[in-house]
Amino acid sequence: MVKKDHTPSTEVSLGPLKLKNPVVTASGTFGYGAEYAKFYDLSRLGGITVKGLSMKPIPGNPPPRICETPSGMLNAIGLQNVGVDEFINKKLPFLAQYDIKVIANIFGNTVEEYEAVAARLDRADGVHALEVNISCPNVKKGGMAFGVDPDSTYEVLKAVRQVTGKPVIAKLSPNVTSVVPFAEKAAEAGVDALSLINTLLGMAIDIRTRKPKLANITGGLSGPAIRPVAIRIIWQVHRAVGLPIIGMGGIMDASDAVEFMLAGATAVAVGTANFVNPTAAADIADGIKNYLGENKIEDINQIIGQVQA
Amino acid sequence: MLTTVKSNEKVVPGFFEMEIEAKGLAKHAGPGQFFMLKVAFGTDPLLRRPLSIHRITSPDSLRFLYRESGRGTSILSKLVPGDQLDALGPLGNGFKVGKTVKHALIVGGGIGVAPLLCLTDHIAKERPDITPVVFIGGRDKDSVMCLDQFKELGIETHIRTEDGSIHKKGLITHSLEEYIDKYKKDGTGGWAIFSCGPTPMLRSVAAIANMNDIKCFTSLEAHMACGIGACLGCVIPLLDREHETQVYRKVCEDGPVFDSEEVLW
Repeated sequence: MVKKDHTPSTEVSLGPLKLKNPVVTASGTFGYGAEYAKFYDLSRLGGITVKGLSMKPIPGNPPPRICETPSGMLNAIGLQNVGVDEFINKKLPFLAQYDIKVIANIFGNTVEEYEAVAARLDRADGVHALEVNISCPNVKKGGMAFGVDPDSTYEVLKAVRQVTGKPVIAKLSPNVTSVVPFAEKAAEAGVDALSLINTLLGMAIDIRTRKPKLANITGGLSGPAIRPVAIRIIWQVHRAVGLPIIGMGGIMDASDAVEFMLAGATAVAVGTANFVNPTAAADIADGIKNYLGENKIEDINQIIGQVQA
Repeated sequence: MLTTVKSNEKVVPGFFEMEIEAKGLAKHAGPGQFFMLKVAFGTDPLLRRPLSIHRITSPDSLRFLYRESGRGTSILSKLVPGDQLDALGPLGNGFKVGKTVKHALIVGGGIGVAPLLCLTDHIAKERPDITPVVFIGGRDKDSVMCLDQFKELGIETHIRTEDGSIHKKGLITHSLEEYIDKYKKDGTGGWAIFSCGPTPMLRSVAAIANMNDIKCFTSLEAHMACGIGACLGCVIPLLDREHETQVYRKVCEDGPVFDSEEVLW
């Protein structure tokens, strides 16, 4: 047993955004929070990132939208969401009862739309940070188009930066040769942190019907299958750019989370694991605390980027 | 919750029936609801598999009837009594037998019969005033199942096979139409159809219900990742009657049982 006065410190800072523990949820895997509040007290988490928000509601892609792959899954949901106003009026108040940071993921088709959503959320009490999605692989615009061109990346992040005083996190695409130049552009635009990585673009075919398994043809690959790719990108970006990183990509348990932090992540986001085990994110938060206690690490910040490479 | 496999046996080639047990497992379960099963520990296969409740055998135990149709169900079929199985549920909105229902026509095709036995059990227990009539169709003799169980419940059962290898040859929807034509002269008020099976059958059942002014509730299937309304992977297009537009609804949370008039077949 770790004595109370030796309880390890789990607080981390993503620039101005302080989290009481490093575990948040990945956007698009946690609804607007209420879906999981049936299973545990959300206050066990450091924060939650809600489903991506746009100015107007979006119906999303036609089904089938998901398919399983080895140790992973492909999805092409198509950013279905209730729209920013409905989120603020109907979904956000529920989250006020929890001691967590609420990160609102945003996207748009144009720089102006990103700006407008950000401005709306800037005025919303109970939203503690904005995560800018410039990396969704499943819609033609509204994401990856901005995320695979460094100048567009800069332009959209700068625009969001200028309309909000809240912490801004850039969620970057892994579907580029090197993420480092994009991370540098994001830093230049003045963001406070990076989310790495979004899903990898993938595809699967039903050999009986010879049709793609997703109606959208291609989709985003997530789950443990992409974990080594995420670790590699986080390590590369952490060495090159000074910004704090929320690491994500197939984290299933506390050991995985520690691996991400050793690679250079300041916080971690649990995504696909929420689908498999509804309490996964909270279990991981507890597991990290146990890891620190068992290894007599007083402060979680001592492990960030400590891979001996 | 972690459950224990009590039995897991082949019913006919390709189809299995499994009973699992855990304290309080079935306490809040109803017909048409489902469980998400983690068929193996580890990350491959990664996702849980949705299986509808076939029979509630006690507050602590229930049965699934399932077809071995892929990797997940193949692994499931190899579990033996005493094995542990992680089951999440009961989930979804199941079959509701409203107070106004006086006569229930229950139509199943192939493995679609699985949740319907649970429904007839429920009616026998909760609504003894209703005498349901069951219609079971399948490709061949191995795919018309649960006939003995319906017989034990004393339920009138109509059976059709597409190849005529057993019982009358033909589609079960024809049998349903014949029945309705024979008895509808006194009106179909208070009649309801409950259906589960392949989509072409469900579509046809919905059309028959519509033509005869009978309420029809249909249980749908979809690939799903979470089963709890978060992933938005299992949506189907429904008719939003208020706005007369198409809207995506989640099979896991809004269904799996839907009013067939709302389904955009």
